[in-house]
Amino acid sequence: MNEDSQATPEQQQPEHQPPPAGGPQFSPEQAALAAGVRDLLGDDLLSSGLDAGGALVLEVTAARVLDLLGWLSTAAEPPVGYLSDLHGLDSEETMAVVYHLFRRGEAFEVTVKAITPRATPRVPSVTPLWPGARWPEREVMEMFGIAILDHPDPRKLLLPDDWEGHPLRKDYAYPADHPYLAPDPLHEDPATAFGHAGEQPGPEDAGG
Amino acid sequence: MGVRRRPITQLLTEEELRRRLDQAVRRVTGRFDEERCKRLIGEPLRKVARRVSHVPAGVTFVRFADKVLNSGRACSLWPLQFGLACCAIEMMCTGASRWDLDRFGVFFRGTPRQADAMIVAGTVSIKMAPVLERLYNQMPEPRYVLALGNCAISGGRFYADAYSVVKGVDRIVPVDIYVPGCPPRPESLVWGLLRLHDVIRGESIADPPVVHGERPEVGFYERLREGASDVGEAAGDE
Amino acid sequence: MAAPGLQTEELIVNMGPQHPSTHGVLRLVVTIDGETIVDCDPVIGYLHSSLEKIGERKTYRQFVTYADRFDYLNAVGNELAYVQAVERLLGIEVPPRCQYIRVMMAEMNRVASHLVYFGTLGMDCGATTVFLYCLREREALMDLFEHTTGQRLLYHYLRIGGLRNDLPPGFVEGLAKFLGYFPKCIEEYNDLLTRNRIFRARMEGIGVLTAETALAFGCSGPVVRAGGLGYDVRRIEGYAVYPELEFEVPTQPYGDAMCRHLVRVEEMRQSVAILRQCLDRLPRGPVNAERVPRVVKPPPGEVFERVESPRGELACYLQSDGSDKPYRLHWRGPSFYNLQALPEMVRGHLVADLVAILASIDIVLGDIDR
Repeated sequence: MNEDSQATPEQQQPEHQPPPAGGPQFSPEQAALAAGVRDLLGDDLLSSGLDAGGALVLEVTAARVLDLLGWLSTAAEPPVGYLSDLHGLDSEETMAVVYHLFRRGEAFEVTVKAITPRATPRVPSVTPLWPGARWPEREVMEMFGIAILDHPDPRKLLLPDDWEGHPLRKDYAYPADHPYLAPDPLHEDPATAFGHAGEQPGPEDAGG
Repeated sequence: MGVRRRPITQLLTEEELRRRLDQAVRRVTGRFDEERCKRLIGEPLRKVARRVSHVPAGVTFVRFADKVLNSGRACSLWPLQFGLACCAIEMMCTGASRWDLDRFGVFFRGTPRQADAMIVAGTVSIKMAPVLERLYNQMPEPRYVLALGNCAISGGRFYADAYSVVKGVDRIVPVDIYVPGCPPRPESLVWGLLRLHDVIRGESIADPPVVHGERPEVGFYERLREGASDVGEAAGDE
Repeated sequence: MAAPGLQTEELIVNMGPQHPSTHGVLRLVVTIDGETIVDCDPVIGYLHSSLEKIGERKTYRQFVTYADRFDYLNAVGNELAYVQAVERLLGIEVPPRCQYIRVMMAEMNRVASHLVYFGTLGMDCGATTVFLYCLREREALMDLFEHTTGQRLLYHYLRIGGLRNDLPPGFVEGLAKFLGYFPKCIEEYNDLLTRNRIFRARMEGIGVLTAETALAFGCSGPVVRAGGLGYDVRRIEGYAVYPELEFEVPTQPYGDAMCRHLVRVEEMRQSVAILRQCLDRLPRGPVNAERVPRVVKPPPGEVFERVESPRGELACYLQSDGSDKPYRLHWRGPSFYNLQALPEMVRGHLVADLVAILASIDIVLGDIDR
């Protein structure tokens, strides 16, 4: 099926574009925006960069994220005001809530990550700016355990009301003895039944 | 002239309303509840059928009665609309113009009270499991369950790695027919329904009663074939 | 509306999760005053299949089959978003023939999905005949898909770096034949439903959502275009070969349920135009990129890849940490955000209007609950 499966084992990785020398190459618009954000936030802007699609990625401390998003959606020239997506991220030492903002009707994207420490993850709610943030924030609360402050409706969204645990955290323990959810105990070893972490790529990875 | 008139709108207090409703419900269901029907109609019928089968021509009578009843049940099987995920789309296609399900007498019902079968089409998540159980309990006997698609059979592609998917609908309700596929082709669903017809036609009024949806291990005709001592002419010899 | 002086009470009524008209396992907790809706609270999660957690545990190639069951009426769109995201991380470019075939599959899928929308909308409004006619046309598309990919509904056809196989012989003729008679079928459906007086009375003027409110809720697709703004990710992002194709983005001015319906009808016609252009311009060549690694291990990075699904903006956020499994895989479902705006649309309407409005948003629970 896959005509290029003559790749020899030595050529496992293709030659991808090497990272541009001298740091991320912002476009003039992105550079101006990043400068404006730095003026606004100062040290609370933890980093700025580009993602693989060329979008501007800003990492900020969680406490200032509402200021930043308010500025981006109203005061920036032109404003980046369409919230396309909101989700959580569990990195090794920190957790983050990620906001994907677009300029209306354009492909100009700004990704904002509100970084918060793993021990007490807290992020303010952005529902004052966008009513469409209610449900994604509820999902972040239940999936990651990140406390969204001042959320108007902090119920669970996708999971049953009596669910325990935060599934999308990296250290989540599956419910191994639930009568409905556990794999068949007669035929599976519960210790390895869930997930195939650390498996070597098998024949299903070959070809297309 | 002494005619007792009741006002047209009588404002009842909440308690009085509830009391009257309870009374009315008990009056109606007290006559027709399932247990009572089984006791007054089903069990005697079953005993009569078993006795009748002792007579040489009696089995023929039981067979005839079964054929009539089972044909009626199989040829107008009304499933509950229970499409959950992608398999529901294939179920819709099966019911549409190309593989018409109406020609089998299958007519989807919206409420479990009027349904004979439940076609579980799609992934059952843990939040949906109590709903599924409640719907199954609301279906009157005889009821059948057809697990459509891999997710309903065993959790399918979600068997490993999914924390919120029930690993097969047979963990919640007893299943009669499993139709594999992801999603199964409409022909597979039609095949499954025809196999369900076979299951239905293999039942008998002389079977032991169905308890909580668990069909008897061994039905009347199987026991007849095996020569069991309490059915058929073998019993009539004593 | 209650007569003056008459005291009424609000009643909380439950619709679903098992309900003929909720398009899947959706539960609506509706507060009504008489027959008028005061508030509506959608309760979701009855189809939650832990897709994002699975994404972290499967390899990149293994996940394509899970991707196309996210929004299961638009399997090609999901695969397109995912596969384009991985290819962007890997830095791979697929050949032009592959791009054209991907666009063709995506547009065929758009027509198929809109046909299901049309049919179920008719069923919800009580017109069951339309459902049978729409699914008859959809069967022709299903046959073409099956001829090419082997599957009727969930294709697993788009792969990382290309496609599973090239178009089989007979596909081009079959598609051309379909495109020859399909515009007449759209007219037939319009006669049956869109121009039907009862349907118009049911759909006009209800469920109004202005474009500004829609954008504030994160809505996209026909829900926004019905309010007058011509936002279409195919135009905005210009992915695959859409910049080379000529098509219009239909809009309607008022934002009510009928406008959403008309936008989708016109989108079907535009998809036919796109498919015709693709058939004319289909280049020769390979359908797989060269040098796609056997084990896909993208370098560390992240990407947010959007495509236009029949319901709106569908996106895949993919973060890689250099291993053979994604570090974080998140899906942005258009119906998730479109459904959030439902309470805004139904306040003050009747319960029967709720059914029509819900059908006009065109939700699929797969991309809401993941």
